[in-house]
Amino acid sequence: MQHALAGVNACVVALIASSVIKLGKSTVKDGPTVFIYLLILALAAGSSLLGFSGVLKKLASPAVLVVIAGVLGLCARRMLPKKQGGEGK
Amino acid sequence: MILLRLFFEFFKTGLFAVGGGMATIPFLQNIGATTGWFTDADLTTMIAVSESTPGPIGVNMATYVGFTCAGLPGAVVATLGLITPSIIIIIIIAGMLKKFRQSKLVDDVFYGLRPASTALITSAGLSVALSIFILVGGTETHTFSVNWMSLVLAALVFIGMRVPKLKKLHPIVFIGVSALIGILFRM
Repeated sequence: MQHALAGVNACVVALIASSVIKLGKSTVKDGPTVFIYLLILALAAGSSLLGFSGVLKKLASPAVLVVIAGVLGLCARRMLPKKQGGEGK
Repeated sequence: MILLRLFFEFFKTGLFAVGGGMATIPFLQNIGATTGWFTDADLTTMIAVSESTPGPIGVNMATYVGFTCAGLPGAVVATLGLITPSIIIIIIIAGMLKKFRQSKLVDDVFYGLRPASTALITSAGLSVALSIFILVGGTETHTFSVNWMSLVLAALVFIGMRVPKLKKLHPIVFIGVSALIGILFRM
């Protein structure tokens, strides 16, 4: 059972990686989205891998990061020229 | 008390997880870290079980986590917590679907939410991968070693999923084959 689980665990990593690539192709497509992706990744990975504490830890909770990303998306679309901020669809 | 906490945590997940079932993983990881209900290793098993069972992965995960934490009532409460925000939001949106579809504000907010969701899944994936591929020795010696067998298997499965003839297969096939390889090679 332990051996089967070890095999399954490895497969789960591949499943997540595959989902990330599939999602990334349609969601990370221009400058602002690359910036948002890298910023949120740095904060989330920093929190879980480096173990942020205090304000940074609270800031890096997934719910807060989603809100930050929404605001950034809104700002990017409203403030940047259409070429950078991504034209509608 | 645990039922109330389960409902609240999964309500939060349902409200903020944008981008399909996999988007719930970072939230679940956060729940595990803050409550101590389950570890990253448990989460990996939950993902495998949820991917292998019929139905949306997010709902399956909520049911699995709820059941693990508080039995059948936990499974029901966690699932209800996850779907409640969607029910409320969809009822509201359904009433003004046309306006919602054409809303520039909604479109602009989602422009930021989509890459963030991908980033959160990437982060959760990295964390899960590290817990599987990096084996930590004794706490006093702080020795690390790489679990090459798992790393190679994950790479092979990943490549397999990109092969045109195989990529349409259900994840359960890859999970089953991986389990078999794990047994055969005594991973």
